[in-house]
Amino acid sequence: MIEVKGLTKTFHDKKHGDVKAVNHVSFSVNAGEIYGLLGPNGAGKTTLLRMLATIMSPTEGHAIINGCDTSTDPDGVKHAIGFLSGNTKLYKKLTPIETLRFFGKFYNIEKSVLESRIQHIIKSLDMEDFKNRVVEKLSTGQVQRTSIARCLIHDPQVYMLDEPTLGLDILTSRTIIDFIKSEKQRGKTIVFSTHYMEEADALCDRIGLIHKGVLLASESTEEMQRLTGKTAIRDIFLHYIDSGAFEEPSKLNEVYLGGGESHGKS
Amino acid sequence: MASHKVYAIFTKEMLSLFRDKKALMTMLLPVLIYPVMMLLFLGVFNMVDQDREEQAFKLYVNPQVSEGLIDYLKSDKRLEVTIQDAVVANIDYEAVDGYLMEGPKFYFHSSFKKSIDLGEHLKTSYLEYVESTRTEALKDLKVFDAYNGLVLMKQEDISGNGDSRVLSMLLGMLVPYMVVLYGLVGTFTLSSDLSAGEKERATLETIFSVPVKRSEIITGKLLACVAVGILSGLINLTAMFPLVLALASSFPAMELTVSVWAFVLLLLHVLPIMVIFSAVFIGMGMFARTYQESQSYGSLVMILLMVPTYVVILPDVQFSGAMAFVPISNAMLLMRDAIMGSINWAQTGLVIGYNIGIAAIAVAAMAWVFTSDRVIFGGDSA
Repeated sequence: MIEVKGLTKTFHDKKHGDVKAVNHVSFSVNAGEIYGLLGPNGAGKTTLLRMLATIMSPTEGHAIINGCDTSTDPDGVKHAIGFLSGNTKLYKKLTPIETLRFFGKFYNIEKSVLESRIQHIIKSLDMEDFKNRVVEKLSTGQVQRTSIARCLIHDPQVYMLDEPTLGLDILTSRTIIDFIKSEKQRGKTIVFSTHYMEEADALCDRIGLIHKGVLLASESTEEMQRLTGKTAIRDIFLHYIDSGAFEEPSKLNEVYLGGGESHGKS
Repeated sequence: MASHKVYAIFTKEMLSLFRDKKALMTMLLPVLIYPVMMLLFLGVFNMVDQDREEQAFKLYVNPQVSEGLIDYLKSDKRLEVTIQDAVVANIDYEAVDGYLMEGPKFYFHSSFKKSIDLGEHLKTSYLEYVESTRTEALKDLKVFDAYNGLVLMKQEDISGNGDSRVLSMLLGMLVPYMVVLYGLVGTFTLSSDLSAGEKERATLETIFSVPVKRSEIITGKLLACVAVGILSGLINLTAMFPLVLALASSFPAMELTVSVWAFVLLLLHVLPIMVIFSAVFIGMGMFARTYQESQSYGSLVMILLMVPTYVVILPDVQFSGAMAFVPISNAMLLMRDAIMGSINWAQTGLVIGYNIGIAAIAVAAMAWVFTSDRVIFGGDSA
């Protein structure tokens, strides 16, 4: 479903020179899988997801998502994905129903189909009470549900979620978690980034550990436990950091990933 | 470019604007305040003028002044004449406004406005007295007609509507200036919200994640900004209209006739100007990180963009070869001429075409900025 090949993003900074936010990252995600990108702040997770969502152009590399190449068919990619992050806020002066209609227009969905889909989403996410209230007057949980609804409007095959639970309380976070689980049950593929290790461990089929733009590992939790001899995901991550693998990405490919292919269960 | 996507963005921006009370107030304020301010001004002006006309001046006149002049001054209803042989240094200018001695010579005190006003009034009165005295003397000598034939220069306005021309000139100066100036303010207000404001509110990434090209997004935003600019200008023009009618009705001799073509041309000229303004402000706003920062940059640019609009209120500036290539100024002068009844279609076509070219360059620069990841997301690592 998703093949990422050597994605790199270099930013030019006047003070610090060239900064590689994402450094030759390659991994794959199988259909129906939940793949977690786990790493601390500044690891490159957001930049990586932005490139996959074709919001940002890579310096090198490309990805194939649902058969569409990010470099040659960005529109095809956007049709296939639903993208949600802390930076994808909603328009404050629109109501939830107006928001869904507005974003729905970009997916070339027939009007009658769009309307019935909107009504179905509003019902299933329990948005009837506030569907006609402008976004700036909604609670955090209501805004979050509207954001999820926006991602659902075109029924994408792939979801890309960038730190979706960041800054949310436990109840609102549960909405996101439940959404992820229900979409997985529908056979959707989900890539989500987080720095909450327990969240990644609980939800993901496979995890990609990322640090300073380098993908340190891309395995299932069990495989990483086997390879490192550690049990807790936190310890596994620190093991990779301490090994210095992120400083020599070329060695990482040879030693840990066996030439760039994932070792996890499909 | 998918027109339905551009239209979706345009309508979303307009809907957001009309639901933003602060932005609406900025646009509609002139409709509410403008007429009130002008009525207050006219009311105060009339009161002052009426007071001025009704006030009587107190004038001391030395008995040595000629009888004829004294009689003439006494017949003036605005003067309270007292024949008084006074010492100039001892005159109390709080009790009397001036003193006329033989010569004639008029003594006044410049610290007292009424004394100055009396001096002005006497200048006019004295000239009238001299003219009437001369006329009487020439008539007595039976040479009045011959004298007039030698010295009198007659003037005739062949347009037949001298006062109306004054009103047309006034409108020719004010209408383009108000429409373009308030259009500038309107585009400036909205552009910051559409560019830096959207960056700050983090909705830019949301719209980038859906299948819409950046060129389609920026076109929708540009159209919204242009629409608001034109709307702001027209709202101000509409707010001015009752006052213009009131002014015209106060002077029955003035017949106000402005051709429909003048308003059509006004719109055609204003359109590329609003595109230039919108493209400049939106493009510049993308470099800012916050709405406030964008407003700071924009204020400086707005002052610069206002300069070419002043040409229409400067006296004796005509449309010429060189002026044709100064964007905005060229259109301002032609709009003024059109309102005054003089339309040169060749010049109009040249200027509109030229300004469209300038607008195209501005739009291209704006589009380049909007497609630059470095500008949108910044140069720092994420």
